[in-house]
Amino acid sequence: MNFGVLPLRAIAFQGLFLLIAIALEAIVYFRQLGFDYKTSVRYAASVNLFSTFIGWLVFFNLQALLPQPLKEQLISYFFFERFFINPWAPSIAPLLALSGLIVFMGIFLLEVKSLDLLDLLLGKIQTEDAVLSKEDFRTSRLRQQGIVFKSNSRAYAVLVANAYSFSAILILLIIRSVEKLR
Amino acid sequence: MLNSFNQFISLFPPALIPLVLLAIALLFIAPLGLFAFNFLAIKTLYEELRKIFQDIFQLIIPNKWDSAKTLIWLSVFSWAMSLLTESFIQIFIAFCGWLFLIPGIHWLMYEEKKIKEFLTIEKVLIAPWITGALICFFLFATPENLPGIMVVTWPIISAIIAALPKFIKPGPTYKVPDPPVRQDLIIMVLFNLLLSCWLQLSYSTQVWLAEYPSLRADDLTNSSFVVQTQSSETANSQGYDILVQAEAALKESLQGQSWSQVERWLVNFDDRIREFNGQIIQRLPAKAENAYWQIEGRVLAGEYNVQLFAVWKGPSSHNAGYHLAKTCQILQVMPVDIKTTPQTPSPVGSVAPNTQVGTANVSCGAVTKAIKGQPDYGKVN
Repeated sequence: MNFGVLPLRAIAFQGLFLLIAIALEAIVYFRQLGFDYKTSVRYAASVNLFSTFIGWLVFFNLQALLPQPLKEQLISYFFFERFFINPWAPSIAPLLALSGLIVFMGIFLLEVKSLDLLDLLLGKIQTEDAVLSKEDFRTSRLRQQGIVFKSNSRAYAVLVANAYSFSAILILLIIRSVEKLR
Repeated sequence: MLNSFNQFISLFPPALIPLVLLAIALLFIAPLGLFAFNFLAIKTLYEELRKIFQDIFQLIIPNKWDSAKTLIWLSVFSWAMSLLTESFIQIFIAFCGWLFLIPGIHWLMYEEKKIKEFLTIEKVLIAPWITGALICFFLFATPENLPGIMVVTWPIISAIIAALPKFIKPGPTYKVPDPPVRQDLIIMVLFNLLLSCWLQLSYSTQVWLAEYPSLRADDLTNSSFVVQTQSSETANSQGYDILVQAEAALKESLQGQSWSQVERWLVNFDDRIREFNGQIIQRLPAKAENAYWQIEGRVLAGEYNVQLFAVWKGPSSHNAGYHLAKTCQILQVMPVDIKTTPQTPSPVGSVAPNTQVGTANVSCGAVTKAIKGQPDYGKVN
């Protein structure tokens, strides 16, 4: 293997983003879901590592399946942080926005599912039934009044956690691009 | 007698001869009473040697029969035996040697307290990663190369090896580990999966650079994904090879031709350049990036200067690609008149006999460094 060009920056950035995301999500889980601090850190770590791994799998498969000009745009971005002129160039910006949205929704759904999976693996049966039975009376009354109330606090917590971590990552990226422009 | 002595001396390299003479001298002097002096020295020397050998033997000879060192000795024995045989028996015995070595080293790291302490970083024992590296090397390495899959599966196999002890209950039977252990296991396995993704990323980078070698010669400092550890001056983008071949093609078509032919050729310069384009780019080693290289050229003023460009229209750190240029001069060489003495020495080229018109001589300069942007046809330089 030729050691001339190594993706060390990508690895360093991803490590940094992971640490920040785990910390933020741990705080959100601690507040919203009432776990103790150690458990919430562990849950956040497992869920984030899992979604990052799935993200890498999707990336590797996707870059093998992309049409050639789009793959070259990807390579150009990977090595030079710019896109070059190419039949696909004008549609890059909407593509990026769309994929950002898909990534956010995808990671959110993945994390909700993996929290359930984690509970299953750790043998902790969800106390969701107990919570639901308590709230059922209240929600059925509210529903009669026309308000549909979703009492899944876990999904809400994951959504908030993801929002925080994505915003933090975006802020870091913006800071970096401002630094580069200077 | 002197002859055999000379033969004996000639066996040794010249530097060793004084030592040999000293040894012979000592051999003769020793019985003459220096023996008594040397006896004590020899005794302490013998004691020291005995102690060293005792320490070594304590280290490598297993103290009970079911120890890790037994396995390692078995593997060394297999390796030694495999040297004596050949072809498929040798491969089989060497294979068995590996099969002994890997559990042997794994066991050794857990058995020897000192090694175990040495390998523990922050309460995490890194022994499974070493065993995993050995297993991956054994499974995937060939004498020719170390394939990528070897490095990419290393963290996964190490994670499996590190996780296995937790699944065994003293019995030995299979058990499901209890929840706190499970949580740590999950995080460790996921982290190792992520490590193997990172390793796979570096292999993908290699594959991309192999497909688009001209990117290697470009400026990669702006990227937030990669880092250049070796300078890019050693890499030559394919444009260099393209221009060298273009020069060869130009010389092939013009060198030694008569001047009128040269002028006719230069009239259709653009078509000729397009021909060059087709020929030369096709002759390059087949890479995905060849579609982005183009040869262009123009004729400059003066009796005749031709500039050849190799233009890169693909991904680059400059906004509009870059190009490499090579300037060639086509000069007219007058034939040498053999009757009269030559006034000026004729330059190296061909001499066409019996023509009034001179012949062409093509000489080209070096390839320039990469110039940003597309070639500027308005500028004359």
